[in-house]
Amino acid sequence: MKTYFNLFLAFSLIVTIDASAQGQKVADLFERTKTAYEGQKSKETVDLCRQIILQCEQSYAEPECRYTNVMKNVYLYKGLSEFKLFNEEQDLDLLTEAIASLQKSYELYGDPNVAFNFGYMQTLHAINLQNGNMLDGLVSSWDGILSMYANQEWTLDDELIKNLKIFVKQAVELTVTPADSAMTTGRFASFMVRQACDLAEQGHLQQEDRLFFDVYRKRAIEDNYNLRGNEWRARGFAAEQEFIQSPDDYTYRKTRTNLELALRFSKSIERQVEMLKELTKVALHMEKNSTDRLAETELLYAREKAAQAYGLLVERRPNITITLENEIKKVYGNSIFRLVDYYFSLADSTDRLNAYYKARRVGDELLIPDRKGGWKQKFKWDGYEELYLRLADVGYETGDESFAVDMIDKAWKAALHSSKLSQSELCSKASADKASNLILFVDVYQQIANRFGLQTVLHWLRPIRKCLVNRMNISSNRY
Amino acid sequence: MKKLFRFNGFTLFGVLFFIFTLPSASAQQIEASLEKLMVKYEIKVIEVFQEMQALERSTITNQERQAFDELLSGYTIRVLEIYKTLQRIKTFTLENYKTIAARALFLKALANIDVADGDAKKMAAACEDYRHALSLTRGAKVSVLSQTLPYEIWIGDRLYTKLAELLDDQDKHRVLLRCMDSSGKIE
Repeated sequence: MKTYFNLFLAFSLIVTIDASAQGQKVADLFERTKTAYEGQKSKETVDLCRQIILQCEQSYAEPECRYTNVMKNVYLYKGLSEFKLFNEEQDLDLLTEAIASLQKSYELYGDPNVAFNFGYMQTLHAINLQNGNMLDGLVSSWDGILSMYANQEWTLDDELIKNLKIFVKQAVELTVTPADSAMTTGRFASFMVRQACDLAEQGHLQQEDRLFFDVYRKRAIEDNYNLRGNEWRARGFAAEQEFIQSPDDYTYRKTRTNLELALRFSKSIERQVEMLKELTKVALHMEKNSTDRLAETELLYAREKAAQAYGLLVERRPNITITLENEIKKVYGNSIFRLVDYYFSLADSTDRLNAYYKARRVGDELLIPDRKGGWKQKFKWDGYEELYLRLADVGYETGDESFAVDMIDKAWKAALHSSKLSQSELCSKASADKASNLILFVDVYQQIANRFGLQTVLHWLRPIRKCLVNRMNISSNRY
Repeated sequence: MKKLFRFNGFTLFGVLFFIFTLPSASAQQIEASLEKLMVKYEIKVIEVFQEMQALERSTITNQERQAFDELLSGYTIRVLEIYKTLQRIKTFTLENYKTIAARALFLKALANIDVADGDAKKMAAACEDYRHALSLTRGAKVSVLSQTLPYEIWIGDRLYTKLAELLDDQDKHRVLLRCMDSSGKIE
């Protein structure tokens, strides 16, 4: 009996010692965790936190496990350290772990900073997964922001403004994630950006911050609250600027992708024509500046986009400015002219007639009957005389007398119109520049008249040519 | 110098008046600022509700609808929190605050139904909010549902000036009606 009693005493003693040793252990572990966290030893912090959590899950948990102030920090240190590790290793499992840890910390103690942080991480997770449907993060971050705002007696400090900027950027990024397919309508993100801008405007913002919120508010509102489309448009314009400065294949592709996405997500006809016009412009710029590309591809692309823009302009009558309308006409006319010119130049190296007929067919796209048995361009655009001139060349080369004469006559009149001169004023008012430009038209006119034996035309052109040469000489003699 | 510290009856009255009125003035200030905040958050609840209703009904909008619902809940919780705080600090009538809190809860209930899609938990939450709203305004001279709203609620091209109209239109399956017991009283 005595032996049993001694055994029981010994067992009780062991249990007591073990329990007290373990109690010390959690406290010790927590101290070590704090030191590791402050020393930015992320892996060690995570390991120590895991040990504490594991120990606390045991049936005889130690008192520290029940202290909110201890456990909320254990989960907080764990979450923040896991996030640091995620940043280093880019392992999404670590990010998931970090979110869960911070959520646990928030459940234990509703710190708004923690809510903002796990909301931020949730959105980051969604962005990394390319899943624009996961909007919980934005809701959580916003909840955190509102609570922080309340905690500061409804005033904004620099930290909160910084958080608002982070929030806006994430909302925008989430809306454009994934780039090529819309998983949401974008209305929620647009609303959240407006909420953030509203809140930011309650404080005294620095110029730079004011500009930031103004820009994003505009993007959230324009084109019927089309944050997604507006963001692609902004990115498209930024890339276009870069592309114009240094036109290379990479910036060209980037610009085109962004503008095409802006076009795809545009909500209004006005926005569509604007994006189509920009796409035409960049394709034409690429063709003009690149040396190693197939020009035809870009020119065909430019013509297609410009034709679409013009089609919308005519059929849907969008509410756009005259300037934009003129720009659309100009890029359309220009894309046709450049393609005609391209095929015309091919005649030197390939099947001559085929190249000329190709050029003619492209040019025909812009021509309509003029009710006098001839053809005229659908609209006037800045440079439309050049297209007439090139088509006259085509007519000359293919031996189509009526077409060639019709085109050169129209080219000549268009050139006079563009120079703001009438035929009777040529000898007195034409400047040297204008005279040297007009003489090109007269030369082609004379060539055509010669080829097809139009003596009266030649008779009419001779004094005009003489006048233009005189105007050029007078001007050069002056200097 | 001595003169400065000499108290007469008038000064004593002044000091006592200052001592007793200062805390009440500051309490009034807090109350006023909380009331302003409550109104501000109620406007946010309406903004979110309107924005949520502007979404078309399709599978692509489901997640956004849920997010709007959560956001609206967040703002409603804030309205209720302010109401509870005012209840603690205020000794006289809370009629106006009760009405604001009730309106927010009605909208939250409607938003919950909107996203519930057969989810029993959401339906139960909607009922709870609805009952809570009704109990808050019990005894009001004019029912909160029939009062003209202090703001306009636009859904599409339709204008709502009373919560009752909104309830009739939005709660098509009469879920909120079924939240009441058969006698028509609040459970």
